[in-house]
Amino acid sequence: MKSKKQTKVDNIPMLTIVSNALVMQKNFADGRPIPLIIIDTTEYTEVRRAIELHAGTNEGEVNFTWGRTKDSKYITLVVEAISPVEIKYMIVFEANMHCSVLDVILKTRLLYIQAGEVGDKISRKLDSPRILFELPITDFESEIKQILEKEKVKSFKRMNVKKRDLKKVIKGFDAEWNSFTAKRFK
Amino acid sequence: MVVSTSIEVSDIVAMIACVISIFCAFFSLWQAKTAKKAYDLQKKIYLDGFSHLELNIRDSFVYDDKNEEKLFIFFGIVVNNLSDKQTSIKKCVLSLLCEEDVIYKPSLSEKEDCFYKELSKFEIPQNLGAHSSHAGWLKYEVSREIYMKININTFVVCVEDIHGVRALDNAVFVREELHNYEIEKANQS
Repeated sequence: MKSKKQTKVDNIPMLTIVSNALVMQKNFADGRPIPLIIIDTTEYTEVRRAIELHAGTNEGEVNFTWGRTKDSKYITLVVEAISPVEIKYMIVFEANMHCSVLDVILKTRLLYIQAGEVGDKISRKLDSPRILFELPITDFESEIKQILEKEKVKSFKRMNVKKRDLKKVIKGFDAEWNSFTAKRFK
Repeated sequence: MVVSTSIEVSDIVAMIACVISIFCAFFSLWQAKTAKKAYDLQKKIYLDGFSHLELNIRDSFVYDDKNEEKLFIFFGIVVNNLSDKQTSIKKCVLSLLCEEDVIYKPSLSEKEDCFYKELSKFEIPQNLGAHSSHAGWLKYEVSREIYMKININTFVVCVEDIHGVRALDNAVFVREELHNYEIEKANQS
């Protein structure tokens, strides 16, 4: 997969996601599934270094700001780390591709971030340092949920699901997805 | 018809009265502004006298000993009294917000032997002076059976003082400390 050209917004590095997964571990976070994303830090070694340094400590102070593009195609998360390392970067989620990751993030309010490059797979980089973030509840969450709902409808329409069957299909999908993400490894 | 253009004494008196009235009007406006500032200050002093608590969770972990029937949930908290008056914390409640809208409230543990000696206990009741803070550790216990049944989403700690004022903070991730879970070596024959 070709890496998209990364740019900076207000001098904040914009990082795309190269891989994502759900991680479940017994006796960790009550066994709940935690979303894990590998962000492309090829051009931003300072972000990679910050993640490596932060991964070695048990606690830290971080501020988060959610955002979206005007066309709601992308949802952004600005991570402003204050301690142990001061750094600011933006993670860009594609609304249609990372729908499931965003949904689990909103449910669990937890997120693993790992530094990597294009082509990295989580299964091959299990030992890489990562940080577990606890995301606070914000008013923007309802907006994210609306965007995800619209993307869900678009996805099913692309799969040629008829308009009259759309509601039933979405209901069935939600029931299956919610039962899957509600599982705990206990 | 002849119109007199000379200024009479009564005109002078009227002009002086008008100037004084305008001066009085400005003076009254200035007084009203000062009175408003004094009112705002008094209001702030009055509100500062009310109980106002702030709670922060500094650290937390679940102590899970395989040989124990109960699990212990530890919270390191800092309570700040932002009021001008002293108060006393009378209650610290932990609520486990679980799936399917279940809220479980474990009780404070009185068991001493597994309490880490280096962790200072947050005593209840705890007196707090005006504009002061106090830090300590709370320990709650949950039976293993219940802990395995419930799926906890959020841990919410709420403190309440003698005036009924509450402050709360929550934690989504609480690390688990496992004890006596080592894999036993098989006896070699």
